Amino acid sequence: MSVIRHPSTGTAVTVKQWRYTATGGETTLSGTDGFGLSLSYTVGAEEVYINGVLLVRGTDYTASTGTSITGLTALVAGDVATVMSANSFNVANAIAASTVTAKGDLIVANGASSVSNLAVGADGTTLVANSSSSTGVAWAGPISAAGKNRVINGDMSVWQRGTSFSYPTGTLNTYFADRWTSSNGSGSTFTLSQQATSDTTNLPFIRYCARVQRNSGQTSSSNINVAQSLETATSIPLAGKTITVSFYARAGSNYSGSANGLGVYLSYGTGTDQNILTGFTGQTNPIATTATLTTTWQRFSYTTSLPSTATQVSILYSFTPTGTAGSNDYYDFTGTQIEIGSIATPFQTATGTVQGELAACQRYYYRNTSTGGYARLGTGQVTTGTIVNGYVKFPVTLRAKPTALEQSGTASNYAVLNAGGTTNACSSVPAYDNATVEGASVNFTVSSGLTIGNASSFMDNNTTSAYLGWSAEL
Amino acid sequence: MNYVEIGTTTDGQKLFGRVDDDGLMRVTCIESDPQYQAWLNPTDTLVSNSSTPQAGN
Repeated sequence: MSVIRHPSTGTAVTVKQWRYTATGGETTLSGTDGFGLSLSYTVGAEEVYINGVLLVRGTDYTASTGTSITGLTALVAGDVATVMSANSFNVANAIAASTVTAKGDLIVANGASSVSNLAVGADGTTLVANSSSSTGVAWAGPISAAGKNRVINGDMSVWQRGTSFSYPTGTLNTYFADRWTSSNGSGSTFTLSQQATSDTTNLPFIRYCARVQRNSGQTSSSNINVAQSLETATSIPLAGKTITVSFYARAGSNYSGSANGLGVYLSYGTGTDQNILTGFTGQTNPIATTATLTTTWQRFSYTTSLPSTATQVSILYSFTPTGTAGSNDYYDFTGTQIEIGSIATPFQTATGTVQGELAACQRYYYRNTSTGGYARLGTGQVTTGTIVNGYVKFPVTLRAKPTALEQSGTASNYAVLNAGGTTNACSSVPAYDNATVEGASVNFTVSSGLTIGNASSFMDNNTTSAYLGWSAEL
Repeated sequence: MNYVEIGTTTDGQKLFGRVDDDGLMRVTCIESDPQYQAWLNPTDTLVSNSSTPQAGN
């Protein structure tokens, strides 16, 4: 018997040598050798020699019992048969594979020369140092990172234009929530509105959603599309990358999408600052699939890769109604996120703050809405006997110079301040005059009574219906 | 919806008003406005009635 000891640990590795001199005719080896050692070996670890020549396991002999060798060619008297066998042993300091028990588990130290299993963390969490943990590390997060989500107003919280819109048929590229636009062909009338998510169990961390509803009694099966197109400056950082789009959605009790399906399209193009609802140059839809909705909030996610030539990206939801609309023929969506990477990490708004998200929206559209009571909307100067030329400074720099002015359409909603402090209702709707990306001038017209050169203010005429809006949308 | 010319801006550009179906003029704009241009060139507009929607249609 030979004994080998590991130099650092002293762990014994025993090699036994069983040696037998044949009397002739033996085809089996077993029992006690000439030195009083009984034959025993670890199956698969044995080596059998005849006169010093190593035999081939399974061909020259069979070793399956641990105590006998069979199947030999008959030995000749004087042949020396030797069986060598090491005991089973473990490599010193090896970590047992059984330490980990599930996908994603980690082996971590919990002290000197001691390790343990750290179970995989939840999706989106990050491993951080934690001195209070027995292993010195712990899963934390998800860590918020402004800019992760390329979709602005993904939580449907900003609706500068209003919070409910009833659209006629033939609506094309009409904005509702900030950064979100809609279209519907010659089909049904429909309503888009902001709603509370109202589910503290399944979606407690997003306050608002958008409701896309086919008006009750409508029968057209024309698509109702809502979409957000990312401008080129936001899209190009996604080029050549794997990206994941995710969102939450639920159906109304009368949702009529075929098989409760909602079309989901992630598109890219090669143009500059175009809108998906009026077409991308070189449009391709790497994600064109259907999400199956239920009346409970679900999160959906899809991953794809964009080519390096992509300069525009958009997300579009398409509702194809069937039959006659009931009173709850709608779906709700919120939490839209487009991020780099192959998994959907927890939702976060593009900027991570309420004020940041509003400012991000105002880069594309700004509306100054009156609160009533002759609230001042800005100041200006009388340029003729009937016109005040006013100026409004935008709160953030717009994406592009506005070329139009939106207002309520009712002249009497607006007024200007005369010398002496009296108000003078407008006789025409406020009119676009000029603009830069920083601010705009507006002409307010009254029937008479102004003095050229005087300073003035413009305001609502004691109504909450007055507003001034400028768009720099795609 | 229709557009009508309603005057000029301070710097002499033509000013247009968008008259909605209810008769109210909710938008005034200059000639380069994209929505006004889309109204001038309706072939640019597209909304699909297809039962197999394509993004952008």
